[in-house]
Amino acid sequence: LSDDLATLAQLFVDFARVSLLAIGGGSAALPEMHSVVVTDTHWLSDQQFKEIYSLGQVAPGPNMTMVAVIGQHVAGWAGALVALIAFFVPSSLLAFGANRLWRRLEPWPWLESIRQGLAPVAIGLLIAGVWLLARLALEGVPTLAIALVATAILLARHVNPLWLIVAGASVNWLVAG
Amino acid sequence: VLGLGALYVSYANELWMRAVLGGAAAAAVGLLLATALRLGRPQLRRPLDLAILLVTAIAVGEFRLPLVWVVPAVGAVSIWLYRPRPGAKETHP
Repeated sequence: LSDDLATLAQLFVDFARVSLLAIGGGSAALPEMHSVVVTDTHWLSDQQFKEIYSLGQVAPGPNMTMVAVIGQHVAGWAGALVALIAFFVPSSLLAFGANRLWRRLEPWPWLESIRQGLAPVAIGLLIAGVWLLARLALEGVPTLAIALVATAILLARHVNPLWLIVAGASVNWLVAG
Repeated sequence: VLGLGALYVSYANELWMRAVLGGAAAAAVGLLLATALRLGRPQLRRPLDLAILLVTAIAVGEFRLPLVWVVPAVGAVSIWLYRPRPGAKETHP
């Protein structure tokens, strides 16, 4: 039992830390998340990490609800619950607090510096997330083509991303399945 | 999600499941890339921002440095580079 509790505690601390530091939003958390659950703890393999992330894209709701699947894999239903709370509650509280503070500090000139200074860091983290997932997921011409076509379509027009995920899955199933 | 997760566990070793999820993951890469490019459009056009962005992306994506170090360090430098300058007009459009 104490082993289980230790696992749950570690899950909570790691996931809360990742979500608090990933200032670019959910996908910016991917590299650190991967370090925790694959490299450090071996809770998941590269393959499982990639596949669970893809599942999260298909499921309704915020795409980082994938943390629940990881939590469940690691420590059952309690793990799923702990992972969700750790990933979403502390960072939401931080965002809420920061938002209120922000409005109070409005005239302070450093506020604009913080906004401008952190924007490229956030985008950099997002790019690092893309990079990591690309390394795990692009394993040949078909997958590379699917990724590039999906990028092009999304940049050209607003479509529901779910359709692109479904289309990518179908195409790859036809080609490789 | 957890329903899909359960489904995944039962079929994870089937060949077709591999292909389906591989395709979904590839499309997800495209999705993320498009999101990053769209959100980052202003930053990708400014040399200073682009440099900060690349340092962050390489530190985290390639060298896998922990965010606990990268975010405060790069963030602090970046905020300092954008420090308020009395009298100076905003340099960026």
